[in-house]
Amino acid sequence: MAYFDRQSTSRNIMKLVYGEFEVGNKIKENQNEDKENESDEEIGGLFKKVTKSQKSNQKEKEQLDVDECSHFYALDKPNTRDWTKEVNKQVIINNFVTGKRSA
Amino acid sequence: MPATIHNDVIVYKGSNFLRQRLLLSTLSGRSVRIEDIRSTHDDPGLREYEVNLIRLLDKITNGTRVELSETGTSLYFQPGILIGGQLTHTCCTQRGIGYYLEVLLALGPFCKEPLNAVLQGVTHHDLDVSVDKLKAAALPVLLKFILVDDGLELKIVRRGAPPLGGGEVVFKCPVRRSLRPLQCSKWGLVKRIRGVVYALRVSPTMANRVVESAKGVMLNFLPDVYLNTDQCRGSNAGKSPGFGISLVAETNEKTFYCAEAKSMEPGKGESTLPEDLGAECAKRLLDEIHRGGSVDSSFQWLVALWMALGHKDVSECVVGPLSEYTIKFLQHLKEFFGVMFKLEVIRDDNEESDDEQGPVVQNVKMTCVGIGYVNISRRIL
Repeated sequence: MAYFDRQSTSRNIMKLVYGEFEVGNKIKENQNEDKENESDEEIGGLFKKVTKSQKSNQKEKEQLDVDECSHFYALDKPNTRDWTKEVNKQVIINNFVTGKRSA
Repeated sequence: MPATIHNDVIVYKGSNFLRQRLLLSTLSGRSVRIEDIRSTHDDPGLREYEVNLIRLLDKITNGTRVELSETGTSLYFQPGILIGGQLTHTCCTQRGIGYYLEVLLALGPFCKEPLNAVLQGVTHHDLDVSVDKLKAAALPVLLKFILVDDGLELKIVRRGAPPLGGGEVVFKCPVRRSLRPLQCSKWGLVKRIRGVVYALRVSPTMANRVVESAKGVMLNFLPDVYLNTDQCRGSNAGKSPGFGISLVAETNEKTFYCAEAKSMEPGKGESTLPEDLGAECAKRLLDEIHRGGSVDSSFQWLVALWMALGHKDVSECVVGPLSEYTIKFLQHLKEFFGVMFKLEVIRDDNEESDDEQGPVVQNVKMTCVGIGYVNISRRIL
């Protein structure tokens, strides 16, 4: 679930949205580093380690032809929390006019 | 994937977000080229519903030029001038009417003539927002930007379930010279729950069973729950059997959250129990309420669009956690209009203490300065 992954990892939302657009030297530097790394990270002279950029490229490729959908949980249907349980109920009860006034 | 620009044409790869790109292209007047459309698929090229969308865009504009490669995997789109006016469009049944209606809704205020569109097709689809949801949750959002409601209307004439459809809606939208900036940082508390349950070509008891279970869940939280049943008959029920529900929660700050669920298409494996469907929809609504924000999560991108195109003034809006679709849309907005939003995560102090109750909702404050987009084609008396 992309949303839950993000929730646990991302700190800076600006970076999350506009991250790859960052101007100037930063991105270039990274690319250089990647190139250097690519050559020397061979495991046992046989396997190559997947670099971060390759991983994100792969991810982008998978995204390329996905069906467009504007729902929040786009194509995957997660199990929503059982809101009728007492514990969960307490979390949102104050979002209703019948909840506590001060909350 | 970030765009590249060749000779003033924005070049993208892949069929995903085609609708966003064509929409923004039409508004900004910049041409786009989209390459590698499903080029590695067994069935390459544009799908029928996407070609249908291009047809619709062609109908409401004047001078749109579209070039498609022989294989259909590459598309060049040069937008024309938005005209609007009267039109009838038969939407492709592969997608819901919502797919097309969202585009019309986004373009509506910027047309030359007020839009009066008749759309025919599938009114409720799994991938798209249904017409009920657009009516309940999206129109109030547009109303916040145009303030005066002179003829903003969405009428559901007939309903139609997939795969055959047969539904019909009429959408009317007034035109504006420019949009007002929006200040919206509170969403208040949920005060009432409304909803529609429809049953098309199935036993009317299905609708009543859905109502009962959905209401059962919602009554745990609020006494003011009222669900309508829409028993369609004859030609009003479309061509395929199906039933579904859409629930709307209204807050005391006029924010509308909407959740929906519908039965499986006939012949697609398991059947749906009406009781499960109602409870599922209620849970989705509660999830939406939990996430909060001053706009329904499906329409975050619409708010972002109208904020960016508003007056040269600061707009501010607090929304729930950004959806994947909105994130992509913000990136596209930057590429087409050069508008960058300031995004801040708002953390609620009250909730931070109890970590055991799962992840805390991250509401996002979006701030931007409008680009002062002016509707040049609108006639001034």
